[in-house]
Amino acid sequence: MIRSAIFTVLLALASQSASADVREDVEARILPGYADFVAATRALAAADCSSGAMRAPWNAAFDAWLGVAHLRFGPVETEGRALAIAFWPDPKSIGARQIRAVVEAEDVALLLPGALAEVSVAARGLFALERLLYGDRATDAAYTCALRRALAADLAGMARGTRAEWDGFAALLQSAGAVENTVYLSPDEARQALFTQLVAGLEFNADQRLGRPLAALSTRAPNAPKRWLRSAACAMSRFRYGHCKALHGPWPRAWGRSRRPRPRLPVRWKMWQSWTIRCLPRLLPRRGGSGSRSCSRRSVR
Amino acid sequence: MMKRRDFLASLVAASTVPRASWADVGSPSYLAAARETSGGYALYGLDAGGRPLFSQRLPSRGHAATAHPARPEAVAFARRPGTFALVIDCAAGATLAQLTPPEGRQFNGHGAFSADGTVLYTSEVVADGSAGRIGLWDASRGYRRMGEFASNGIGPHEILRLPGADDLVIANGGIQTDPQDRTPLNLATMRPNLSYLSPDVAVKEVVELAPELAQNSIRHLAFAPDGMVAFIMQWQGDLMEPVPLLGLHRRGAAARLCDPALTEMFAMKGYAGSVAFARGGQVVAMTSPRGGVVQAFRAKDGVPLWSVARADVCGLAAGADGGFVATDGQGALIHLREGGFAPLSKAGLSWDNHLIAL
Repeated sequence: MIRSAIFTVLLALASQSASADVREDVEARILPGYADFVAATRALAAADCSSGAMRAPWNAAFDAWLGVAHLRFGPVETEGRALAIAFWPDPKSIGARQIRAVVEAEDVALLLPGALAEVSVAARGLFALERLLYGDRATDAAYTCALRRALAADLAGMARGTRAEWDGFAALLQSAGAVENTVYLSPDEARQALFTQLVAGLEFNADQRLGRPLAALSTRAPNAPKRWLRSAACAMSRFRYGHCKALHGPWPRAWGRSRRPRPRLPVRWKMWQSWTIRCLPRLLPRRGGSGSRSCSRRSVR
Repeated sequence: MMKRRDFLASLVAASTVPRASWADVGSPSYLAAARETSGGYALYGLDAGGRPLFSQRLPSRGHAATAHPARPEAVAFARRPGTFALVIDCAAGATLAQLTPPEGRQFNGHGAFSADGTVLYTSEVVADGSAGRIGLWDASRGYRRMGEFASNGIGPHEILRLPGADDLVIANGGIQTDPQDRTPLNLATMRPNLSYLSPDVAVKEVVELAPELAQNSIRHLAFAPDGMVAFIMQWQGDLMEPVPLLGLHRRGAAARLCDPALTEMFAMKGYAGSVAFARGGQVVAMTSPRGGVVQAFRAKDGVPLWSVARADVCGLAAGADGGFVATDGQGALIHLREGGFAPLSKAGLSWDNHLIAL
């Protein structure tokens, strides 16, 4: 009796799986991930602007970003936020050139609230800050300090804006297929959008964050390793399995427990599956050695 | 005995025997190939609202189509390396002819009719080596093969006939592929070009990209009413060193390459799938099914205007209100305008690469 009651409950749960897995992703992973990013960037913006005091909160903000960096849809794509938050890769070193120009010009107008929102995305966000926190430009000159503070405030603003807009976007994902929803025309589309984030994130990590630095090292390309290693491999060594699992969890569990036939999978699922299997092991960081502080320091050498 | 007047009247009657026209099939606005839920393939005629007016089965996956300028005949091309093209009588729902490339030739997914509708031009390659050919088929006599001429490059893809002329513009993609499996063989040495050819097979103009863009394969084309040609590319180089994927060209002038906004530079994932001008020709847009994005530019100066995210979007054509209509792999037709989109229709099928405006 109890067993059949449990079975009924499971069946009921499983029958909602199409929207339930989207909801679970959004509520249990995506929104908390952005909330972490908001909190970490708020702390960064509140920190003293000396390079010494800002490094730890910058590292924490970077970590928090890696929890949601694979999400390349919705509010984070509005106004180019994703690249403004993390302008990477930057093979032509546009960011370095622009930050150098800003520091040399000492334009105080850029320090006013909101002014950085009008600046090129290459000169904003985590990587602009990194250039002012490590290496030659990590001075505590008045303008550099004030610029760091302005960049941190700009970053925190983007995090806040992204999280705030996610309320509406989450509703859109969860109402996929409803008549009034003109963005996601079926529940499958919403689920597919989430899968795409996962797969693209895995690919990006495997091919770009890990593959490039490793390939550059092995081929001894003259200028590539430094350029790519700069923040890349380090970012990955901190990339925790949990982050990567962010979207990976809910659906197989929901479907696996169900006695009902599996929902018909999108055609591309096979491809996704093989990618996941291929990429996932490559992404598993060596646990333990993931102290983000030391990692970031190494990254800028 | 027939009087002279009656004889003349019968002549007039004979010459006005109604021949089927596009109006007889509901004046479709678009043609598009699709994979159906059953696993089969078909070519669809769609009205301006995206509703299907007719469909015709295809033996395997289609790519693009071209429409006869007067008769309700559409030619559906197989995906490359193509072994067939079907001439479909859209009024009768019948296949008028199945074109098979001559021995050692393969269709490359696109074709175009001459202005008077008497000749069908098909984009082809010599299977061995991918040298480009334009096949000639007699559209007034049952689509008999008439001959061929060189496309002025390797691996031609889309060909268009320019408005008000019989000149062809050809996207020579530059990629030599394995005749069996589409594997590219010459990425290190490829040289794509955009070639303008006249019917008497004179090369009238050739556009080549700078050497550092030699791996940017020119694949698809569109033209504006004023004759401006838009060409889009598929970048075979490093995806993390993004390059412009859209070019605009006027005869006699240098091509202008359109850089996307900095925030959009990775959005297309190095792959542009379809290109179209909006009516009037002031705005040009391209799709990327890999990036799930549509980017629009101002045709006058190539300035990026807007972009819209839509998963697996590829087919693109001019739509109502100065906007665009796009198809995607989820079976949706959407209307795009000013950086937003609204769904027009959704069907249980998967649209293939191109949406052909009639």
